[in-house]
Amino acid sequence: MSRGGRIVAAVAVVGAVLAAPSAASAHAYLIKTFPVASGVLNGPPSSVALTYDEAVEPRFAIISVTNTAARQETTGPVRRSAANPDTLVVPIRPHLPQGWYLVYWRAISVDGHPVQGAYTYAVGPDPGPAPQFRIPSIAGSATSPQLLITRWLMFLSVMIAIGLFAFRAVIARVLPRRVSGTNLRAVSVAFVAASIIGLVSIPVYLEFATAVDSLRSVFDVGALVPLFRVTAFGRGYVDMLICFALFCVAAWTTLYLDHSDREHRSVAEIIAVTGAVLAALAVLSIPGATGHAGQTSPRGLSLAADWLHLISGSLWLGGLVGLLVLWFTLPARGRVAGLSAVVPRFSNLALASVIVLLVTGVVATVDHMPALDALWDTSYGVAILVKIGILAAAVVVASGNLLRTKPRLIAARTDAKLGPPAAGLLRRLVGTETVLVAGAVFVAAVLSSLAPPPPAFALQNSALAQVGPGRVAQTVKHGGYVLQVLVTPNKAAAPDSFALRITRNGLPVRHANVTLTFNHLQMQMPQQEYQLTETRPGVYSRAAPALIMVGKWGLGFNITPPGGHPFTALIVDEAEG
Amino acid sequence: MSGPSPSPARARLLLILAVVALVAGVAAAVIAIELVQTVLT
Repeated sequence: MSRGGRIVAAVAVVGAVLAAPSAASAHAYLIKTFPVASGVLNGPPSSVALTYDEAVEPRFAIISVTNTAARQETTGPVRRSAANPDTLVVPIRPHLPQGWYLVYWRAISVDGHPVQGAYTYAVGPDPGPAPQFRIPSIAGSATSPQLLITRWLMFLSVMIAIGLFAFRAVIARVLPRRVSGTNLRAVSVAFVAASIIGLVSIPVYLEFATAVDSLRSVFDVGALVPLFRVTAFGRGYVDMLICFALFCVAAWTTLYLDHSDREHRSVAEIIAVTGAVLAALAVLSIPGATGHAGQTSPRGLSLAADWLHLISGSLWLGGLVGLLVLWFTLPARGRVAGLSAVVPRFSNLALASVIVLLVTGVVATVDHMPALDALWDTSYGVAILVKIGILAAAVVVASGNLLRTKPRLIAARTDAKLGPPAAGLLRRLVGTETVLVAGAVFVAAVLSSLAPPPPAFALQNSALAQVGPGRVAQTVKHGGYVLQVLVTPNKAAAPDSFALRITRNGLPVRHANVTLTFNHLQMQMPQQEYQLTETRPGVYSRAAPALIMVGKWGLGFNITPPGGHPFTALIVDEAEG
Repeated sequence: MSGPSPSPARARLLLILAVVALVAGVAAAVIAIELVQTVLT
């Protein structure tokens, strides 16, 4: 197959795989609450307890309980329940008066990302109508600019260091033998510089991430360092620092032992390079294990895809930087000869890396996207599209190198006058390609800081209608039934009224059993379910403070008509504040 | 192989360094495997 054909085939595979359905899961889920969501207690509780599907760290969690005047009712720090390690408990002021209360929480998942949610409960027996709450201002984002930049620098330096090592130890090793008067010292120096930056940037990133998660100042180093290994995320990055330090030891030793003037490596060189390769592979497996890939089913596939993605990205990026270093440091008389010795070898590796990068990127995208439209409907999906766009531009530039520069540099071995223009073109294209790939790494840093869309997002595809914001009066048809949905006023954190009018053949369907479930499609919250009562013939309604947050909600009307088969009509409703 | 062979003492030193590099690599691999295993189970 021609190169063009391969590209077309890759694009076709991307489209086909993206179209396939998938399941996604990640982040801590709130699975049980006390008091229950929207429940009315007969007396005031002494505490609020939230149970997750994993043991979240209480030192990184916030549980806020506020009354209608936004007064904080908690009286102590969040702690772990002695009875259940997955449950967080916060004490609240005793003898709370009757009325409605808002519980707003934020926790850090095992992959280091904050998750948040809210629900209301009432202290009765007569709490009155549910009011509109002001959501407390709590930092819930993992994407502060400082954190993003440190994350980017960390990925960039680690990937460039590992890629430069591969470039120096394998690709460019032939240079001193093939072109007299050249050496690889500059590439080695660049590698050592990148590895030192990596050794510094990993703990700096960990410091910033821990500061954000624990809501402390980044300068509070004394308090932050003991928290490094409190979460699985922190432990993962401490492990990454250790592995990267071991890689540096192995790689620096390898370069010290390397005699690139000899064609064959000595036994000592082979042993050392084996150690360095093992350590590099270990380092690149850790971001996936501590991030989304480690929390996404099937985990084995997700981890393998993430690992290969990082390996191929590192080889590509590090090699590009290596080429630039060579371009600028080779003596002018040996530049063309040097590049014509190295560029063809690197081009083959880069082509293989790009193919692996694309395939594994598609696998990761399919793994994380609960539905195809999540790609343009969620910030996570948009970040993926931006990354694909940048990488596509980089591939176009890379194809220029592959199809133009590489043949010209090879031809320059016999026709010297072709060399200088080819070397000039190479510098421009490799420079552009490096900037683009570094940009893609930045988007990857953004991407891995965002929460993937919750699995409930996939509900959107089976919705009969998309309604809101504002008052809803929507008619849909399902299996011979005509369903009219009414939501008033359709505002978040307000006492909304929900009604469903069911007719069949123009006649009201009476005595049906109708329940209504609520799932927030953009934020993880426990599902709420209400029984609707028949208030008029064929009209089932209920007032409920169920839309507790703004955003898109999946409203599932579960209908069992008398003598008929039960069915569910799903409506996606957007609620405003 | 071209070039002069190192003296026995230097060859031993180079081999020791190589083993250090290998041990570092194996240690990193063990750390990573343990982490991945924790995630998978």
